[in-house]
Amino acid sequence: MKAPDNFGPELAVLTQRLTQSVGQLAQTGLPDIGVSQHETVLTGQGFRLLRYGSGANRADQCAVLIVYALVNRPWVLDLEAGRSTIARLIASGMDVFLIEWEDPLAQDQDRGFSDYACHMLDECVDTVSALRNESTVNLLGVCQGGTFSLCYTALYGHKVRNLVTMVTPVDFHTEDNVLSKWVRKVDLDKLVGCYGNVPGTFLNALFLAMQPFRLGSKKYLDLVDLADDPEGLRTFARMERWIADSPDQAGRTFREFVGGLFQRNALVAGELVLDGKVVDLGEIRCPVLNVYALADHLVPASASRALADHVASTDYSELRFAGGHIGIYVSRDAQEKVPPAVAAWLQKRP
Amino acid sequence: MNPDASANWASAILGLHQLLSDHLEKAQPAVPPVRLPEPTDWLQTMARVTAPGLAPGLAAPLGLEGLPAHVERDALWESAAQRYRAAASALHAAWLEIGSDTFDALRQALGGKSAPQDLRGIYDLWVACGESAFARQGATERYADLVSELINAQVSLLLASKRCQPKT
Repeated sequence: MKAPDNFGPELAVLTQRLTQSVGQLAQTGLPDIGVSQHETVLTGQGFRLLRYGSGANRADQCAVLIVYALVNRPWVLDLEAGRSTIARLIASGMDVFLIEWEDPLAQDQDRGFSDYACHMLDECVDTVSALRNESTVNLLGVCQGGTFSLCYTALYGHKVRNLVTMVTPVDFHTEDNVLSKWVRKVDLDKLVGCYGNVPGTFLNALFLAMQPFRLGSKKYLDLVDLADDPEGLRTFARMERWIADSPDQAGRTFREFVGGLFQRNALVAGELVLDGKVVDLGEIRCPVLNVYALADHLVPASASRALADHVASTDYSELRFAGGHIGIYVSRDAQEKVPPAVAAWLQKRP
Repeated sequence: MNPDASANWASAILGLHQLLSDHLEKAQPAVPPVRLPEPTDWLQTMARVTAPGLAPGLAAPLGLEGLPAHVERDALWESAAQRYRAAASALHAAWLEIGSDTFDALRQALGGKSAPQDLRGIYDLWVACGESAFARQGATERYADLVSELINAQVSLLLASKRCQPKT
């Protein structure tokens, strides 16, 4: 093996390529995210409801309402041409709706879990139903948005035709749920009392801290591989923009969600109360497709898989993706497999 | 591999790390974030300013921006600062253990027949060893307690600092 001091030529090449990549990144500026045509069909208190695509034929297609998490922005589902879950769903013949949560202002710190998972979501469901002239909707809940969708379906099952959950935490206390362990003893009353709305940078920092070597070092050194790949650099820049853009969290929602689920695991314990009603996953009887990632470090597969033990659906199936929490939205492999499979599953259940 | 050689490898990897860091810091592109995070970066992210009265290099809690450089410290503030220093130090000590475990694993891997021969490969191996060491430590109750205590201590310090702000 060579001694370390013999790596001069390799170091020179790495330096040159890194300089090239970073120089190009500097010139790229802030790249646009979101490529699919859409319109706002409802503006509510704390959210906008978007409808994608165009044309009269949307009415004849199978519709799906995407419920994204409050953490980060939903644009990772529409990152760029060739990496857009939304575009793939549209291409698969779906009429796609998406809830865009608005950033909470200081005066919104008392906005609670129920406001999102019951009231705002219900407004969107009713709007989609009205626009489609249908009595029920298909929900696609992503990550925390999947948990919202589960709660909503348990409470308003008569409005949900089919439910798809994607990388959705259900059992927050599985052994490999590192994030849950980390926040188990955080004094949420004090934290929320201190900040009001919890800064997005706080959450972002925690997420990055879960894979510090990979997310803090390796992905940047890997820029040397993109020195001759301008499109790859633009994708990198878009991902960096998305990762860094983490909205603040409404204080009360943060306290209720983290306290109720991460700390007390109330959803699977049948102790979660929203809007004065106990959320009983056993009330979910509609068809359920549970999509999860086998290498998910944020929402371990075990946390998602637990859903099978709690819903009463006789039509329950799973789609396992051999990748991670972000890869399931943007990787080439996921793009080929996940959205078409979700669309086909929904279209078979009109 | 003998210990001296191991130290050289560590130095080479850290040199590459520093090179990367320097390049990214010089670049100043419009795309955030390009600064290379440090292993304790989440502390730094939460702590964008130096808290008044804290030791140099010790991160301060998010939200202290705009506080005067000198606050009217009282016993409560001193107690909160002491708690925060202890929590940060304890997590830092855990990180030193992770770093040490990482290099032990790297040393062992570099002694194998399929060890990479190039600097990039060795850097990637160091990352893999680091993530593996971190995954073991990060999932323990002890590490979880360190993280939650740091968050709680930061919040206490922030609250104490806000309380000590001069009334305007």
